[in-house]
Amino acid sequence: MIYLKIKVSAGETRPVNLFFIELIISLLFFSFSGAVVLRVFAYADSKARLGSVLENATLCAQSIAEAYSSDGDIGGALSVVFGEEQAAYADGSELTLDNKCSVSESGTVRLSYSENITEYAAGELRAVTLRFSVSGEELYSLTCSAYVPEGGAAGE
Amino acid sequence: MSKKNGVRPGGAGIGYVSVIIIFAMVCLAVFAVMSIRAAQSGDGLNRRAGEYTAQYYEAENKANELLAKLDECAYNSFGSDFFADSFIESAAGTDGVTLTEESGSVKAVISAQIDERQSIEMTVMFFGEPSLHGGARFEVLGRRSVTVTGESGDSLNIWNGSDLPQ
Repeated sequence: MIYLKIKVSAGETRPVNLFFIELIISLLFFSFSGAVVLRVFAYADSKARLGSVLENATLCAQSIAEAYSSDGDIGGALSVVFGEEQAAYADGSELTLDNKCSVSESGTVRLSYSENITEYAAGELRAVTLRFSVSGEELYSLTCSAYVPEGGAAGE
Repeated sequence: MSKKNGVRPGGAGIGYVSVIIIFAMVCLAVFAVMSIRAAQSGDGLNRRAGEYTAQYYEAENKANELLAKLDECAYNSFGSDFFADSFIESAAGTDGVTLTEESGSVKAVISAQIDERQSIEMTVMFFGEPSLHGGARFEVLGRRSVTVTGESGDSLNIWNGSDLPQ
């Protein structure tokens, strides 16, 4: 065992207590390591939240696509998925959603949609592209379509 | 502990605090790594599910595009004497479409690839006499996802409940 001694006066020495020195060094090591580990935990939490938002966006896009493919009406599809009152919050071609993809004015997820119509001799092929974005970055996009014949079809 | 020159070496045991601190940090580090791995695997799964959904609707878009072209052929064929022959002739060159005549009407099977293992099949009946079907030119009979079978094609022998061989 190593002992440290302080010379107090001539001929007299006093041993230094290493326990407190070790404690201080250990606490310093613990604080630095703890900071790193906490950052890792925070990163994992943010990644898990983003994954949850992506899952909800996928389900929401799928619901809108299924509702749109029946009659090619994007307004009707949004009403079916979000409810008529909530769909009215659509600002032109954008909608603000929360993390669970419900309409919310203070949400962080933005749903934007654009429709493209191709005319055929016997009807219209309507396609709509749905884009979900968080903080300006695109999270998920999906394109769905519906063929609306002139004269109609007998359905499925 | 030994006494030397009348002075007792001081201090409690050295090393216990370090061992405990190091053990705690190792445990926290392991938990952090496990949480990162769980978040990454969940994120990967969600991305794959989202990609498959997008691919499915891409295939459905192609199928709807083919349906539009076939409806155009049917629309142009109504003026001819033999609807089925005229329709099949005008739609013959369309890829991904199989046409069969059924009592003056034409059944079309539209196929579009989702990925290398699955495809979507839409079965549509084009009527030779729309007036008999409320003015509708066609009816979508159904849609389904079909798995592309492999080349081996050998099926397993499944026990059908008969007596066991002795």
